[in-house]
Amino acid sequence: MLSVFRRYRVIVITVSLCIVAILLISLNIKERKKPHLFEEIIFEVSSPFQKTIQSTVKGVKTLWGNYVFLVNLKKENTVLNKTINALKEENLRLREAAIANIRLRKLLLFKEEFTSPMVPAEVIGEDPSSWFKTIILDKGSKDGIEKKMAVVTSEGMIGCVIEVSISVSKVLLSTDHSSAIDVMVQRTRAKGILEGRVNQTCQLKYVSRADDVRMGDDIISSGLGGIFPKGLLLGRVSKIKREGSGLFQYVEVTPSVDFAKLEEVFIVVGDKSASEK
Amino acid sequence: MGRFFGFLFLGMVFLSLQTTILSFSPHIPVKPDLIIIMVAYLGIFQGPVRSILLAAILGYLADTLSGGIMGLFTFLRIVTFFLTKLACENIYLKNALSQTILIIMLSIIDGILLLSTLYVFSSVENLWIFVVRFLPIQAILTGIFSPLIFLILNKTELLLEPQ
Repeated sequence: MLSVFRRYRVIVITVSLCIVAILLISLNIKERKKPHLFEEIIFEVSSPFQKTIQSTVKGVKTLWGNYVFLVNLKKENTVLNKTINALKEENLRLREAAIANIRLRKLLLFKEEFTSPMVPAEVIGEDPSSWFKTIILDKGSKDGIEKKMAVVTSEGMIGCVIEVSISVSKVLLSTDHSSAIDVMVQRTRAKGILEGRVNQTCQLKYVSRADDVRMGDDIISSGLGGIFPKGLLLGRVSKIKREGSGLFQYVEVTPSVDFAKLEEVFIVVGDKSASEK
Repeated sequence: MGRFFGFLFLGMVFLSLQTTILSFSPHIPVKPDLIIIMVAYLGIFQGPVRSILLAAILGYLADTLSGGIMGLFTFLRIVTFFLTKLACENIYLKNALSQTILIIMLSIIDGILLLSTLYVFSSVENLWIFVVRFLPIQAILTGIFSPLIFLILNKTELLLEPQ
């Protein structure tokens, strides 16, 4: 018996582990309330690695920017001096525009609905695979973070918290294929479901062909479902197709946030209680 | 035992690299899968029992950090290991070219298997685009990285248990 096992041990172990893995998938296919203790430990152990790598990359970038590039400083200085005067004049005009921009942005983003308290968090990692779109933040349950809290930046909403550990949390981005957010077109209030696609865009589904949707229309959260606060900007309509038959039109949405440049985000901590009320 | 934990530590470093700096372009959402390379290395050069356990643990670690279904990458890495063992018995895999080709093939099989598993357990509607447009690029990218990762793993092995 033992000799048979020894002979086929690789196959036996492989099949056994495959069964365990498939059982694991089956058990976790439903939404879990909280991660297992072992997962939490892995989360906690891996976060220092990620933090170290992130800070090292930042350090190298700073070093490169501050020293290596300064080799050609004299040449650059001559050119730059000439452009400074022109830029000063342009700067004055831009400053005015920037002040107006900030004012308008504040008005747009922090309307009456968004009085909920927010916790700033830093992005310390992203999904190890190319298949899923998640990020890891440096704030966890000890900072008051809970599952299903909305995550935003000044440019709009990016997703929601799907897993929380003591000091880190995982966020499902709106561009992930499994993300589905109830949204509406700000201008016409036409409703639909925003689903993620792999190429950093989203698709606005279930929008009737009769609904008025135009290129450049802002897509905002509808507030239905109780996870995301109403009125948060998610993206802009970048492609519309009404060809062929069918009830719905094809609407592609480009997210308002550049996910490749995400560094700091805000977790809306107040919405959980608001939605429970 | 020291080799086991040494490889495990290295696997964690590889995973951390994948979650931090190994994203090339926001327009091409691909990154090399260093864990596939590592599992293939284990399959080619290491003992079967230790390697399969490491493959399963590394898959589980990837599951924990990823947004997919728990157990998905555990399953995939075990299959990757088994396929490598099968390839080992039939193909000569001691030179860099054959290893790189193996890694490219494993990456493509891994992607198709991932999609099939997700199809059984969940939805894959939008992931087809990834398979068609980006999976070959990702497989080639993973293949390009394989000689370097094999070298690192080989040096680590020598460091852990010098001959």
